[in-house]
Amino acid sequence: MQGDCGIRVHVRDGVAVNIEGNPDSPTNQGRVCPKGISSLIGLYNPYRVKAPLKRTNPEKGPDIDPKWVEITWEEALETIATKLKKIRSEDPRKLVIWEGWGNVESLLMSVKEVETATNYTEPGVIFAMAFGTPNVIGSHGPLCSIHYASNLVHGQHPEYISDLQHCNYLIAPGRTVGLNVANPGSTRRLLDALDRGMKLIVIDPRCSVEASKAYRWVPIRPGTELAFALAMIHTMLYELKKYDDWFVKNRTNGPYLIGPDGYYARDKSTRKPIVWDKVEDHAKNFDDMSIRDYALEGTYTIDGVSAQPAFQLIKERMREYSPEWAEKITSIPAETIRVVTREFVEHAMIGSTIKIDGFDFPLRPAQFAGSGRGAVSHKGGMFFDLAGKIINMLVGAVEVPGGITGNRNPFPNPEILRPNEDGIVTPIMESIGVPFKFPPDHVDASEFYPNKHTGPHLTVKALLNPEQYHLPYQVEAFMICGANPFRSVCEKETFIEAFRKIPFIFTISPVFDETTMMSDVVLPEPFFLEREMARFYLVTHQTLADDARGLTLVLGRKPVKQLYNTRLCDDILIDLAERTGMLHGPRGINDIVNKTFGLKDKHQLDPDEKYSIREIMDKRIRVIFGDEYGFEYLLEHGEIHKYDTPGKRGYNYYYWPGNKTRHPIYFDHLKSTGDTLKKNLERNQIDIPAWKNSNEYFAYFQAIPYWIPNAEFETPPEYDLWAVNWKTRLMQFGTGDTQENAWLHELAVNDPYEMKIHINRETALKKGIKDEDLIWVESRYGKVNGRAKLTELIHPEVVGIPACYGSGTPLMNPVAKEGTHFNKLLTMKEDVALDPISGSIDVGPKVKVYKA
Amino acid sequence: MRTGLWLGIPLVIAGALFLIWDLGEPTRFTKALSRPRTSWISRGSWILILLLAVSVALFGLWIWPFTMLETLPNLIMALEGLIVIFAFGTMVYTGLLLGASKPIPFWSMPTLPILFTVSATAAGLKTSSLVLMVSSLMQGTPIPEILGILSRLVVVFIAIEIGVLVLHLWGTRQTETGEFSSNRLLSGELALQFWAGYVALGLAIPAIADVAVSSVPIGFEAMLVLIAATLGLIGGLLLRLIVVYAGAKAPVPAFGGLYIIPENM
Amino acid sequence: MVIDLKKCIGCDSCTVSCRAENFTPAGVFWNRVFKFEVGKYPHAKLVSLPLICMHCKNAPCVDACPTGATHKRDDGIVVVDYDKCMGCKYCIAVCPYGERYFNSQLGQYYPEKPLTAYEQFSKQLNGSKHHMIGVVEKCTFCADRVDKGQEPACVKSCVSNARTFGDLDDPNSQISQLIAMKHAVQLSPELGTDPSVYYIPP
Repeated sequence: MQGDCGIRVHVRDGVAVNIEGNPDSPTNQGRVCPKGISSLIGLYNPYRVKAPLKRTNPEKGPDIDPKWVEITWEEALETIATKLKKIRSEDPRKLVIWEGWGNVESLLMSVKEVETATNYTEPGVIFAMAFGTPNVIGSHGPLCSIHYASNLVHGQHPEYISDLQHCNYLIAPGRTVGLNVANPGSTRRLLDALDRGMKLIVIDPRCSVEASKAYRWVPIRPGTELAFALAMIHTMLYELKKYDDWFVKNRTNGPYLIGPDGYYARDKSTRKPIVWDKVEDHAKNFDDMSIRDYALEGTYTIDGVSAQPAFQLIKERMREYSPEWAEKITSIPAETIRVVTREFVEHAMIGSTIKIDGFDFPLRPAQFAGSGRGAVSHKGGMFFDLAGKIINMLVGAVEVPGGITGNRNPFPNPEILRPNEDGIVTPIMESIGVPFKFPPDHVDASEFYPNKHTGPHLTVKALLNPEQYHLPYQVEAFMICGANPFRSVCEKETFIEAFRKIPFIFTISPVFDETTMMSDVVLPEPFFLEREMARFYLVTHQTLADDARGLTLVLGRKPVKQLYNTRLCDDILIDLAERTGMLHGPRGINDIVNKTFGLKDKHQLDPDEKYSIREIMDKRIRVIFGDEYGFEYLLEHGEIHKYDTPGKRGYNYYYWPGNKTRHPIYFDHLKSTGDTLKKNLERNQIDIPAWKNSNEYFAYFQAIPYWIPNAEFETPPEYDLWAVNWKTRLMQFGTGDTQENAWLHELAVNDPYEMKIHINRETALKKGIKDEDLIWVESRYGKVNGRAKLTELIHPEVVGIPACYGSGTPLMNPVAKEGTHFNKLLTMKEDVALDPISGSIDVGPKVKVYKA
Repeated sequence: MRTGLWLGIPLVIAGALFLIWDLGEPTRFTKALSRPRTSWISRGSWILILLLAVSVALFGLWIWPFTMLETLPNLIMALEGLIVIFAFGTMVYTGLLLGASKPIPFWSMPTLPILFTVSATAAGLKTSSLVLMVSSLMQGTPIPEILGILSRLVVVFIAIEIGVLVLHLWGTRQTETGEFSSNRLLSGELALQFWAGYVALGLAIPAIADVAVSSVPIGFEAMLVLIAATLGLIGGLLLRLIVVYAGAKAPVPAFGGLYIIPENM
Repeated sequence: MVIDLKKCIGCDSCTVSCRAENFTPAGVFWNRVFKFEVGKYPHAKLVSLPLICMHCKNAPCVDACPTGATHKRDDGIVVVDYDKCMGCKYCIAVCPYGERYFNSQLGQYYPEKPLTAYEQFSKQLNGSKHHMIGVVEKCTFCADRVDKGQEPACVKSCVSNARTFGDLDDPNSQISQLIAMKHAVQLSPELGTDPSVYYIPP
């Protein structure tokens, strides 16, 4: 997904003949994963798009021959620019831009390159901002909406990052710490930590490679991780009676008094939240320097109104969630829950400190590494992530050495934990929420799911039922870049139908995937080895040790000569912007590029000039690393890096120590988002689209997470198993054209665990299923078939379908269609499968399994 | 002797051609002679070449102008002696060739060369009886006495063969991988070929037939000999195939699992 | 070479880096990763076992080769001279580790399309990278790289840094010390082949 690894491509007689890791790159340190090396043969994939094309067959479908005709770049760009100009002058919202991880290097398309942390009204994609459309749809995301809790609790995005340098006990539910997908940096750090003696506890229905190296593998029923987390909190509070009293009092809103309305009780004059000083026995403002000790429990009367510390409310809520209660739901023995919780608390070494560069940090070498896609991507899954944050806060393992720490770029950064007027860490991005507007601006129902991650699923639903979603305009064009929702979401037929409704679709793509097949005009992009691009590194989705802390890195290399008539995405976009009249002037591309990348003074782009992306990258490199560097230097050396914040400045705690900032352990912000939305709906006399019962929707906007079983718990008994999916080291997202790659395909075919349907040996034998039998897996929403792999490495109630195989088009390498496409088992029906907070689709359907 | 050579040499040549034809690079077959010090294929190649050379020499004696040399009995005796030695070598080396593959316990037993030699001798006897029977049938001459002796000899060799086989299987079952291999033919994927093909058709029926030869009415005799010899020969072929296939995939124990050697040939 | 199975994550980076380095045709793997399960649910785990030519000190393939095509270099690396190999496959039969491949044909990566430029390029190469039909081939420990003082490709690319390459004959080398310290073992030592590849148990 990220392209974090520095590689060297060896070229002989114009032919790329080998790929090696760049030993100077601090991320991969000369190592390369199988996807990276296999890109060598991906470059020579003969099924690629080789020239600009337009369709002559008006009938659209991923399997229907578009009857392509080659056209010139001039014709292609002019056709598109004419449409864009017209739309932009009428109503820019009528252009929907689909972005994805297919082209993360692009400066003008990539969301992550743009700092949208505190300004959530911008779509975050430079091209969209210049065009004026709010409609940027991440085609990734609805199966992996893991951001809200980290955005809210400690201002991190896309999630927190694990400090593996100090951690001694790491609980990983429904996720990989990087090893299962062979990320070189994370693999190295995890193995080093294990070598050092760190205990890894994997909570997962299947025993992955990572679980095989773990101290414990704790198999769990899919979608019940929340129950496990709640039981851990219960055990800490009611059985062990052990938690980080200091941290809860000084670094969370745990002592804040909560009134009967569920919000902070406030001081009448200052409007500041109040706490109870239990020594002096009266209420004080939270930031009162004279507080002797905070009350965490009890009920107090303020101005005749009774109020309780947030911690007290949380504790009460957790009373019912005993390990025995959780055992019934999760299938994890109560004793195991107790043991894991006890070990976790012991390893957290509550009260210990560590001196780094002479600065005293709390040391909390234990982490509950929530945010795992397998655990969060369920209806109710965001409650799991929030409960996980509570677990970490109860032992004080947030933003301190050994705990779950910072991730946001640039990182570390004194802005990250900056408190708001209530003394609480300022929420960022998805936790801020999209402001309500009626009729809505966004095509993806953002106004109805203000905290959601991306909304490709909601977009196609709104396009097919514009009235139900109150969409006030008709979408006229799709622009697609590095995105393929047909593969990354579910209900392919719904997507086909919606795409057919759009009068004009163009795509910038190197391959004939489903979105390309649905397009009217195709602009061919080079394969990434042919791209003359700089890749600006993000710490995201990584684990952390000194090799990554405070690292600023840009990767690049001399490109391989382009095999076909292709052009760089960003150069295409600059041309289109010029022809559409959105390159120059205020809010033109150049202007936004200047602001986004901090191009100032002599490096500033002249708003009225036209620059190639090469020139823009050169300026950006000079701004970051200094004038002695530049794009030419980068191509020559393969990487440039520096460490901005070593030592103590590598931890966000350093900037806001003691009680200078507080993490929300009581999520009043979530409650207020829901209450505000409810009011707005009432004011406009509307409901959440497609929810039969909006009370059920608002049940998720509560300040304390609690157990709500997802819809799969109501499935008829013949659906006796659960289905799960995971990413593998051969196929994570299908980016980089891994699905067509001959070498990766050969590895997958020869691997006993790839392209198979995993089923517990005993379960399979009971059903008369043998190894290699062709079996059907059927959920209430769809069915798929594949070869059975009988294994001891999976929960007896679970079938596993790895990676994202089995999706392709007739113009692609035929191997792309091989294997089983898990997503066909899913539904995006809102009130059945969506988490109202994150917008995530539930990825753990109940299924029945039978021989074909 | 002549009949034997007339029959045997073309068969040996045909066999050698099959071996060459089976090579990945048949044109390079002469290179096979270059490592007799260590390689059983090299040694086998030499044995075959020498066998053929001596046989050709002996043939030569029957062709003018060398026929006069026929009068030198010592020379002929010497050549015949060499033929016997190299023919014996041909029988033995296949077993030694497989037996030299130490990693495959099913092959690397001293019993294997014995088993192959016994089986090959039995096969030779069967071929002889087959040829005698066919020629006597074709020429309409009475069945020669010697066939009875041959039949009894075959029974003896089959008995020895069974004995060696049991010994071999018992021996191979002393190691885990050897047991894995022997299970493949006793109860695994080669069981049908082993029990029905080799044991029943290749050993039991020929033995019974050969025993019965002396006690059946004349006329059935010929049929029994034919059946016994033909099945016996097929059995001999099956034995080699079974042994090769059973041995080729012996797994390696590795860290609590069994690593199955893939078929790369 | 020492392969640390505690570290190996079975990712096959070695498998493809080997392919990229040696241009092995489709279907031929000089390096493979074998996977198996140990134990019963829920006390089961997955073990990944990378396999290459073991470059045995007492290599049965060297003895078995009738043409001298398979031979041992002075440094102990076992190599096949394709020009001498007659394809009798006896070496495959005697190799206990299944690490030899016979090319009955040359596989193509994209079989329905013409050869890629990468595959065409390998045809002009010499030595072990020039693949031929009818002969046996296998891992060379990247002899070309070793001659240049570099590590084999699989060692260099290994994501988990599980492989160490060095001189087994030198008791002071890093690799010899690693073997002693971590109790590394050979595969099937009872066969007496004395492999040059050691494994640190998982």
